[in-house]
Amino acid sequence: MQTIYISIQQIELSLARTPIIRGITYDIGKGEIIAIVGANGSGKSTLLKLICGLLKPTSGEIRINDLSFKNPRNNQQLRTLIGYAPDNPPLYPVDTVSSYLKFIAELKQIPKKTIKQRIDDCLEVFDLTDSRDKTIASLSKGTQQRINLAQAVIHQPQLLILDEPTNGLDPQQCENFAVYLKILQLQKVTTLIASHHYTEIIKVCDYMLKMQHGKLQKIMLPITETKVNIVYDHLNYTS
Amino acid sequence: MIISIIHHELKQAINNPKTWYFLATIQVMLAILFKWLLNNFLANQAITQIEHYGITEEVIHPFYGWFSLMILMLLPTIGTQAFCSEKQRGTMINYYCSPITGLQLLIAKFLSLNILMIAAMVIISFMPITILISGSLDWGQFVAATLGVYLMLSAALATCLCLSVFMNNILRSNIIIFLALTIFVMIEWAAQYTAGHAIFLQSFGLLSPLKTFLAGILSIRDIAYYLVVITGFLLLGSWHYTRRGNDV
Repeated sequence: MQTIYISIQQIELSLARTPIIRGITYDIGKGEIIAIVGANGSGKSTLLKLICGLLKPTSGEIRINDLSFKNPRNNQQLRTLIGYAPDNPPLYPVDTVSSYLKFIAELKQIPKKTIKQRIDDCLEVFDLTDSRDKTIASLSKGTQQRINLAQAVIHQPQLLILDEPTNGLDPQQCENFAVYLKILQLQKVTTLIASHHYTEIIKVCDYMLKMQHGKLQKIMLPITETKVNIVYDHLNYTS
Repeated sequence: MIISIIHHELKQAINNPKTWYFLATIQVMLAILFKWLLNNFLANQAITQIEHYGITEEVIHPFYGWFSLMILMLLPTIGTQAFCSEKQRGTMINYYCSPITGLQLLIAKFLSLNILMIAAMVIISFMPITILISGSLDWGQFVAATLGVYLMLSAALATCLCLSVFMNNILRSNIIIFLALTIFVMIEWAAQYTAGHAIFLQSFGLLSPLKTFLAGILSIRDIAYYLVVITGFLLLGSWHYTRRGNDV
């Protein structure tokens, strides 16, 4: 394994006395792309929320780049490291696409000089250029999902946490997104993806973790040479 | 960052038809009230032919009193929109995942709602100023009343925002904020019936310092009281935001 970037130590979480996460210990290396798969209610999204600090574990600790949310002083630094796309896009219906991304860029404290460039880059990567001046409410679910992904990467995070990122995307958009994740991997961005669509993400992830009843049940290594080659061929073609 | 949030909040409010309905409803209701107060004043003057209090006391004083009560009744809904509704829509994640402190967020939300409140006050202030067309206005009392109403409503707004940070359910938030504001207002009235045992509670009522302002007196103690309430509730809200539990 490469340098440990995320260290999960014996985390447990109970909500309303119901155990949701039951003693997970795991280390994730820098630049890895990991898929967390499992049935609905298995605890995938909860684990991601714990990693990005939205939920606090009942016990145990998660360290990202050797920083923990347990120390409130680390919060600001950690939040600039993490990009999070929730399964329910956190969008404001009356905003236009560009004004929403501008607002998020300002919240993430991106220097003013580079905000416009970052927005243009995100719009291009996620094929949103034609929709830039449209209100979010007028856009399709798939387009809203792409805006959700764009807001997660706008500040160039080192850790990308994506909850059901392919929801609403068509096969071509999924393919493009997979390529984009591989490009980010070359820049040493660590990516965690929660999904119950095995086939769409199998192409890009280094390995999968299966969640069942709040536990990491088993680790599957699904990568085949053919699948990786398809992605890299596409990558070379686009670059 | 605070300016970005204020800008975004104001844009959201301006693009929301509810804001305009809210401003229009207040304007219409207060216009009817103002006309009634003015007619009443003129009728009394014509009947009694005696020197009563001036127009500022007879019209402006109750006008601002009613305006304060109206806004107080609407504040639970406005306060709930600030945090609770965002939690339910899932858009609070934008703030949770940003390097922003609770205090910065509370101040930004408070200032943006404050700007809307000032806008509402400026619009309704044109009504008392129309008195100048055919009479004179006690400017000292008018300015003191405006400042008093503004400070009192700001204190109530800070209370609403703070409680909204604590709540997750919109309906529950509306009810609890309404009850909290009612207690804050009623505490003064209730203190009068304690036969002097708890008369000190009178000083904590949200409306008691306002009476001084409406009488045209600018008191440092009353200004300080409202500023303490505003700061205290914003800090409490910020503290809870930072230490929030697993309510995402």
